Formats: sequence, structure tokens, C-alpha cells
Amino acid sequence: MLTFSTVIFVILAVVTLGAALAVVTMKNVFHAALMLVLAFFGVAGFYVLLEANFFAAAQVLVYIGAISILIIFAVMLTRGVTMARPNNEQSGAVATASAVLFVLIVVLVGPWKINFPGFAPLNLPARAFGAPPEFKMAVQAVSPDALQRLGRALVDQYMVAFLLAGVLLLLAMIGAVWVARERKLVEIVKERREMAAEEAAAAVPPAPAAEAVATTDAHH
Amino acid sequence: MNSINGLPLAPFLVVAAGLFVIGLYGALARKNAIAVLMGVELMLNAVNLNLIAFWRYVAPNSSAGLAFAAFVFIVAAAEAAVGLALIISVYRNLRSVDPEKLDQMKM
Amino acid sequence: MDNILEVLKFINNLMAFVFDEIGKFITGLLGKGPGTELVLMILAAIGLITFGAVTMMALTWFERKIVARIQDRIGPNQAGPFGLMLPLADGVKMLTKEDITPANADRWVYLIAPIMIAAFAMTSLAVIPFAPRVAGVNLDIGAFFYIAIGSGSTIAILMAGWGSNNKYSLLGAFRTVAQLVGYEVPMLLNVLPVIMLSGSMSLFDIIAKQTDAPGGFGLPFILFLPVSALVFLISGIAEVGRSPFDLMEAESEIVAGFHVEYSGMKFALFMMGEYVNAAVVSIMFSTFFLGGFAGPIFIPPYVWFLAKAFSIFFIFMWLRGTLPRVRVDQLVNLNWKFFVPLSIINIIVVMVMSKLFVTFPAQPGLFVVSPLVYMAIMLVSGLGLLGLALTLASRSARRERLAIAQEAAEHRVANQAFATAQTGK
Repeated sequence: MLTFSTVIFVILAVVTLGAALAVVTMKNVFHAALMLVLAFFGVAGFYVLLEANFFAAAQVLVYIGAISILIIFAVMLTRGVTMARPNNEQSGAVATASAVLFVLIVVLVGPWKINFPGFAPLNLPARAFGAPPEFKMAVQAVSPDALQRLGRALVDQYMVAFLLAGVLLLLAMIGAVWVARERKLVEIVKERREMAAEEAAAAVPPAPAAEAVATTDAHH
Repeated sequence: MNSINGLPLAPFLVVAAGLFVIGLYGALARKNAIAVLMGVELMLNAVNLNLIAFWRYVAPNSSAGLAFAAFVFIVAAAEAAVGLALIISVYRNLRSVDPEKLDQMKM
Repeated sequence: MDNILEVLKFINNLMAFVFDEIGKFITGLLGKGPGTELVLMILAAIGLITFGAVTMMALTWFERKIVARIQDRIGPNQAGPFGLMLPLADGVKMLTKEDITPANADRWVYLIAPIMIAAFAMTSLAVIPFAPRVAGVNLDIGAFFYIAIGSGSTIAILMAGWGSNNKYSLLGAFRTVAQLVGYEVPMLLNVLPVIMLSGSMSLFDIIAKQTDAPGGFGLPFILFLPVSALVFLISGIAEVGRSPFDLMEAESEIVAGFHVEYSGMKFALFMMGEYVNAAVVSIMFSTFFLGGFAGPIFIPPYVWFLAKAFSIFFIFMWLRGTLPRVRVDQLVNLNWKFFVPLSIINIIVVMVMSKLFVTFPAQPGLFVVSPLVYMAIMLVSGLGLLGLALTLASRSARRERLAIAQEAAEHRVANQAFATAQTGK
């Protein structure tokens, strides 16, 4: 059925999946990050199609406005790593496994009936999960105060999860700041000397120690 | 009627599955730790898309699907922050972001 | 008397009436259906983009004239009477400049960055309420949409900084993104009390709460939330990158920052993005805190809308002409050490006050008061919080100043002792 929504869905699907493929195959990590931003936009478009407009805006705000910037900063701060091939040795096996997984998901878990001509009808989901193999539920309309209900539910039924999420964010913030803190030159030299001493004590040649002290970080 | 404006639930699930599988490939087959993280973010997005699609088609009047999706947002953001901080810290020590080079407990 | 009222009502409704007629005309032409909807949406988008471009032209002229007067000079008066043709002259200048792409620059990234910035700025025009029934779209999450789109444009700045293949451009982009991402936090934290008081994120509902509509307070939110208004205003200036937070484009410091390698129309797109962003921040401030298009009936709502937004932009221009630039570490310290704690404590105070005192008996709360008393209570508590914060900040600033002065004095004494020891030898 060719309606406005169907056309938009096809466009969004092509954009999102194309961008995702570009993310995992591009050599230049910065370009891959920009394609990731495009994929996020595509998913935000899907949320609008599904009438979850708050989540579309939240997707733009959180993923594109914050996480993508983090990723691009990390890409810029770890420059100078050139690689001949972007994928490692197991990429062929992973690609095959992923394709097989995709087919399995679509055939086995999807709420639809797949009939191969000449074979008995595939009834696996019905037998495995006890659910009807075809999705025939009637779709209700979204109530206009869905957002208010979400807010109320977050502090009513899901209060513990909500508080835990807040604690998780606080811990993540503290952890990230601590792990990536800027260390003074004296600290770094001391750290490197300690590591070298331990390696020498473990009967490993101390060559890395000299190198490490010589190549301290440029931004000090 | 099981579709909104002519769109049934199935296509959304197929797109989400495709996104998940592409993210899985990215997470397992890339040599740059940041690219691995990008694959993980794609997987989380696919999961969110699935959750919201099911919320809309199966139970649009309950908030369980939306609340779950909100928590996935939060966890993805927290994990991206810590993961990237770790990657930058590793780069400072090892001058490399290849996850295959990180095979010792001491650097 | 009734006749005058009728005429006034008609003039007030003029904008909505005109757009309704255009809609009916096009629907009559093309028949009902999704195709017509699409055509109407495209026409609305074209109208909004035109509004954005015209606003930018008008604001460049106003800015030059007003900043010039503040600096005791006349400003442009050569290009047409009173320099009114200046925006056109600017446009012609931008279009005829040579379009350079630096060597080794990432071509697509370099090209798309200014387009993205201008596009995001224009997208945020879609939700602003011009008049009681006139807006691009009446989203039920209008305020949140504006914040989300505002945060999306930071990616474009990183793209511009990276795509120029220039170290200073990249450094400028880093500092700019640090400033933008940092000041989003107090902006979002201070839109929250507005949403709390009005109970909805839709911009029309926020305006309705500030008028005499049923359930409304009849008073603009700036009287209820002085701290939020102040911090939102300052964060808005920092988000847009105007003086005194204009490190992003400081010609004397980092040579125009991330857009140093851009010329011609691409630079004009950057400027358009900045001016439209500044206009939208003024419009949002007037919507959240001043009542938007609401006002006494003898002036049409769209004129009120323009007047309030322009007065806020006048404050921006006033600050630009008067205050010196803020250093980047002072900027970041101010944000994280002053504005964010202040915003969080403000949210707590507003939460407590809005649950203790309510204006309508149907709402859950402890005491029921009239809107005026409610306003007085919140105003007093807000100003008290502001006074406390400023006192603490000034005390810590004085301590820091004294510590620095003492250190300098000690250094001076040590230097003198060293010098006399040297000459004594």
C-alpha cells in the first residue's frame, strides 16, 4: 500500500541502513563518525514515524548532541594511527555469522508466517513461544497524555530504576573525569619509571622504559 | 487493523534487526576501538527502535516500553562516556587504539 | 465601542486569517489529500526560511547601527538612506567573493558544515509561536525540540574545524564546542522551572499560562523565575557565541576561530546561522519569560511578538557594545562552578515553593494563594537565592584576588632580595 508513511519509511530505512553499513566499513574513522550521526538522524526519523516524538527529540539531544561529539573528540585526540585495513582477520567469519544471524532473526523470531512453496508451513514461533505466528493485534491510538504518563511512571512504578539510573550517570561522570584526567609531567615520569622497574625485575628487557620516558605527552 | 497508515509492525522489526546485525559486525570486526564503540552504539539504537516499535503497536497506553527505552538511552550515554575516557587513557599510555594490542593486564 | 473592539479583533487575527485563506485556496486548487498537505508544508517551510533570512538582514543593520551609536559613532549611512541597503550590499559582497577550498581539506566535510549550521538554525524556527494560531507546527514538546535542535548544531562546528585542515581552526572548534556543550546545561536546567510552572512543554501552553486564559497566572514568568530568566539569558548569549562570550570568532585572538578558512557564501551561511540562532534565543526568552505574543488587545499579537523579541536582542547588542571579552577559562569556570549549581538549587527552590503554595484548589499543595501572592513569594525566594549566590561568589572572588595579590607581593619581595643579593656580591 503506497501511502505517505510507507514512502517515508522506505527512505528512512535506506538512509539508516546505508549509513550504518558505511560506519562499519569506512577506513577513515572521522567519516565513519559522521555517518554514525546520519544513522542517528535516521533512527530519530523512525521515532517520529512511531509517534514517539519526545524520544525523537531526546535521540537528537543525547546521541547527536552529546555522544557523537564525544566520539568525534576521541577520534581527533587519537589521531596518527594509520591502518592498512580497517577490519581485522576475523572480519570474514563475522560477516558470515552476522548475515546468518539476521536471516535467523527474520525467519524464526519475527511475528509473521513464512511459507516456502512445497514445504509444510513454518510454525516455529507458535511452537517455541506459544504466540500466534502472525501479528494480528489491532493497533490503538496513542493517548495524548502519553508523556505525562511516562513521567508519572518513572517516579511511581520505576522509581528504583530511575534513581539507579541517576546514580549510574553520576558514577560514569566521576569515572570518566578520573580516568581521563590530565596528569602532571612529574607524575607520568614517575609512573613510567615504576613500570620499567617492575618489568626489569620480571626479567624483561627494559627497552620500552627508555622509549616511554622519551615520548611523554606533547600537551604538557 | 494491524497497521498505522499502511505500515505494519514487521518492517520496523526487520530494520531494527538489520541495524543490530550491522552493529554486531562493527563491534567484532574493526581494528579501531572507537569504531568498535560505534558498533555498540548502533546495536543500542537498534534495541531502542525495537522497544519503541513494540510499544507503539502492542501497548501504546502503557509506559513500560517508553520507560525501558529511556533507560537504554541513559545507559548508552553513560557507557559511551566511560568507554571513550578509557580509550583516550589507553591511547596516552600505548599510543595505539587497536583492541588486539590490549592483551595484558599491565601495560 | 463594540465596533472598535470588532476591528481590533480582526486586526489581531489578520495573520491567522491570511494563512487560513491561503490554505483554503490551495486545498480548493488541489483537493484534499496527502499531496495537498505536503504542498502546504513546503509553503510553510519556505515562508519560515524567508522570515529567517529577512530577520538576519534586518538584525545585521540594527546591530551595526546600535553598536555604532553605543561606541559614539554613526554607523553605516552610505548604502542607501540611513544605510538601509546595507544588508543587500553585504549579500552582494558575500556572493561575489572568491570561493576558496583549502588544499588537503576534506572537501565534503568542508562544504557541508556551513549548510548544516544554517539548516539547524532554520529548523528551530519551526516551533516559534508568532500569534495565537500561527506557528510552523504546534508540537507538544516545543521547548524540548528547540533545545534538541540547538544542541545538534555543535557537530557542524566540529566538522568546520576539522574540514579546514588548519590547526588554529581545529583549536577554535574545540574551544567553541566546549563552550557550546557546557552552556547547554544551564539552558536546559533553566527551561525546566518554566515547564514545571506551566505543566506542559508546548510553547503555546507556556504562553497561555502567562495570560488571563483559564488556568493562567496573568503575569509573565520573569516575575516568578528571576534566577531562571537571568541564567537563561546569559547561557543564551554564550550558546550563540555573541559578545562577551565571542571567543568563537574573536578576530584579535584566534583569527576568527573555526571559520577562518571560509569565504564568500559559506561564510555568509555561518553568519546567517549565528544571527538566526541569536534571533531564536531572543524569541524563546520572550516566549518563556515575557509572555511571547500575549499583550493588551490594542496592539496585534504579532507586533507584541516582534517588539518583545527585539527588545531582548537589543539587550544582546547593548552587552556587545559595552562589555569586554571573557577568557576561555573564566568562561568555563563561570559555567560549571557558578551557573550549574545555581540552576540546580533554583530548581529545588522552585519545586518546593510550587508544591507548598498553589493557585488553584484542584492542584495538590499545602496552601492556596492567589496568583499575585504566589508571584510575590516566588519572586522573593528567587531574588533571595540570587543574592545569596552573588554574595558567596563575590566573597570567593575576593579571596582569590587577595591570594593572587599576596603571591605577587611575595614574588616581588623575593625578587628584590635576589637582586640586592646579586648587586651586593
